[in-house]
Amino acid sequence: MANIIALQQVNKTYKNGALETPVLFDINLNFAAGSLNSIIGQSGSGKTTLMNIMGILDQPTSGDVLINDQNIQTLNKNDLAKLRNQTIGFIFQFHYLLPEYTVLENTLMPALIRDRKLTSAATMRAKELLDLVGLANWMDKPSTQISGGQQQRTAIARALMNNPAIILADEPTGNLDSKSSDSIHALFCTINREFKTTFVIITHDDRIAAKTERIVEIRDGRILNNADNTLVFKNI
Amino acid sequence: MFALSIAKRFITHNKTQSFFIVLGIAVGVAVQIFVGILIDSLQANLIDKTVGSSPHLVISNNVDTANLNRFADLETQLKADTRVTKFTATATGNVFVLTPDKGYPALIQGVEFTSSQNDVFGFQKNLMSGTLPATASDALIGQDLLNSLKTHIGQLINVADAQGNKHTLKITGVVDTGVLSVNQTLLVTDLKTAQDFFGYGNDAASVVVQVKDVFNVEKVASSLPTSLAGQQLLVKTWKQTNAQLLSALGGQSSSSLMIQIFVLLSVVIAIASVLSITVMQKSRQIGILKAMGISDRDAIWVFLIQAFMLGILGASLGLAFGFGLFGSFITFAKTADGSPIVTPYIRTIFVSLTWLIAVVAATFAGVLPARKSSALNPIEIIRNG
Ligand SMILES: Nc1ncnc2c1ncn2[C@@H]1O[C@H](COP(=O)(O)OP(=O)(O)OP(=O)(O)O)[C@@H](O)[C@H]1O
Ligand SMILES: [Mg+2]
Repeated sequence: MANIIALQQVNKTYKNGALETPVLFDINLNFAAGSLNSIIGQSGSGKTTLMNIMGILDQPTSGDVLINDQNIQTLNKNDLAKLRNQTIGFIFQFHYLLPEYTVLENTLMPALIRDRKLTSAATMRAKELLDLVGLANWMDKPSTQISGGQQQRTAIARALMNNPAIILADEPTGNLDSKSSDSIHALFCTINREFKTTFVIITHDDRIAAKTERIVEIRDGRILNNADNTLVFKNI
Repeated sequence: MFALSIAKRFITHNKTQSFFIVLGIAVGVAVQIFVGILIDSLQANLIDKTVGSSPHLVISNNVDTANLNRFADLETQLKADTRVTKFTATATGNVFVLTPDKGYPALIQGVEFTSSQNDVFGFQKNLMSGTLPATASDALIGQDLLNSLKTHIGQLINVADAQGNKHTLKITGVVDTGVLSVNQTLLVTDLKTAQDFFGYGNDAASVVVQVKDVFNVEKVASSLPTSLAGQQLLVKTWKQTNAQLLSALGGQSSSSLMIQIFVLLSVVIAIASVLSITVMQKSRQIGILKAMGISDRDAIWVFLIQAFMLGILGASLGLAFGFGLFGSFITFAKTADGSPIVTPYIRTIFVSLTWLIAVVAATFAGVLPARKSSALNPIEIIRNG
C-alpha cells in the first residue's frame, strides 16, 4: 500500500534563545494510506512534537516530510494551509472548539474555510457527521454548553468534515472516562473501515493502542518499536 | 465574505465587551466633536460679532469728496460673484432731529431694502421691534436715540440737514447695533430717500459688500475693476481697518488648531490601545482556525474587519454623543440674559473628517495585532491551551 505520510531522517530541536532542546532524532517513519495506527510513549518522549510535524503545524529542524509523496518543503504557506484544511483533520487532547459558534457551526468550519461560503451540501454532511458521533440533538447548542465528551465528539465531527485522508489525534480521549473513550475509539475504527481514512492516534492507554493495526513506540525521541499489530488486531 | 462573517460573530458573541469598546471609541470621538464644534462656534461667533454686521469691503470713489457714479454696474458684477453674500449701495448724511426744546445730532444711513441680500449691516437681525422701512419716509432708529427722543414706533420725527432742509420721517422699527455711539445717532432709510434728501441724485456714497470667506476678502477685492465709468475706485477691506483684531483672530485660530490636534492624538491613541487588546484576545481562536487551514490573509482580514466595524460603530455613536453633549451645553450654559453662550457653528467637513479619522485609526489599530496573528503559529495555542 502507498505511504500517505513519510518522515525521512527527521530531527527536531526546540530553540529558546540560547537554550536548545533536542527532541526527535533521525526519525524514519511511514504510514500506509488507510491504516489505523497508534503512537505510544512516555510523557515528554516527543509524541506531540512528532504529530505536529506530521500535521505540518511545525517544521522539522532537518529531514523531510512527505504527504501523499509530496515533499512539503516545496509548498508555500498558502498551499500548506490548504493541505491542512483538505487533507488533514486534527483532534487534540483539548477540543479547541470556537466558543463563539454552535456545535453545528464548529463542525462546518473546515468546509467554510475550504469553500469560503456555507453550502447546503456541507451543512448536510455536518449533520450526518454529528448524527454519527451521537450529537444529532445537540447541533444548535453553543459549543460551550455541552459536556466535555460531547465537545470532544464535536471536534471529531469537525476533523472529519472535509473528508480528510488523514486524521491525527493527540490523546483524543485523555480527558474522558473509559466508557466515552471506548465509544470514541470504536468510532475511529468504524470511520477507518468505512472511509479508508488513515488514523494516527497518540495515546497513553495500551488498551486503546492494542486495538490498532500498528503500534509505534517512541522513547526519548527515537522510534523504539515499530510493531505490526495486525495479527493481534485481526483477532479482536 | 467569510472573514466578514467570522469578524461579525466575534463582535456579536461578547456583546458586553464589544459594547464597552464601542463606548470607549465613542467617548473619544464625542470629546473631539464637542471640543471641535465649541472652538469653531466660539471662533465663528467672534468673527460674526466683529464683522458680521459690518461691511467686509467698501467701494467708493477714489476722490474723497466725489460720489460713486453708476454703481448699478458694480452691483451687477457683485451679484454674479458667488464669493459675495451681501451688498448694498449707501447714501449717508448728517442731520439734526428736532424736538421742541433741543436738536439731536444723527446720521441718516440710506441703504437698499429690495432683498435680504442687501442687508450688509444686519438691520433685520438687529431689529428689536417694528418693521423695516417700506416707503420713502419710513426710518429705523437706533435704540438709544429713540430713548433720548422719548418717542416710539409709529411716531413722526422731524429732521433737518446742515442747509436747513427739513424732512419728516416715520419710525417703523428700532435697531440695536450693539455699539452705543451708533445706537445714539443712527437713522436708517431707504437708499432713495437718503439720495433725494442729501442730493446724491442717482449716485451713492459707496457700495458695501459682505463675502463668504472673510479671511480671503482680498481675493474678491482684487477681482473688482479699478475704474468705473471714468472714475477711479477705492476699495477698502475690513482687514485694513481692523489690523489688531485680525492678528488676535489669527492667534486664536492657531491655538485652537493645536488643541484639536492634541485631542485628536489622544483619541487615536485611545482607540488604538482599546482595539489592540480586544483583537489580541481572539488570537486563540485564530490559532485554532489556522490549524484548520485558514490562510494568513484571511486571518488578517478577520481582525481588520473587526477593527473596522468597531471603528464605524464607535465613531458613529461618538458623533451622536458629541452632538448631544454640545446640544445640552448650549441648552444649559446661558449668559446672564438667558441667551446661549455660543451659537452653534458646525462645519460638515470637520465632523466628517473626525468620523473618518476615527474609523481609519481604528482600522489601523487592527493592523498590528492582525499581522501578529498572521505570524502566529497554531502550535503555540495548541500547546498552551
Ligand atoms: N516549544 C518547546 N520548547 C522547548 N521544548 C519543548 C517545546 N515543546 C516541547 N518541548 C520538549 O520536548 C519534549 C517532547 O515534548 P512533547 O510535547 O512532544 O512530548 P509528548 O510525548 O507529547 O508528552 P506528553 O505525553 O506529556 O504529551 C519535552 O521534553 C518537552 O519539554
Ligand atoms: Mg503530548
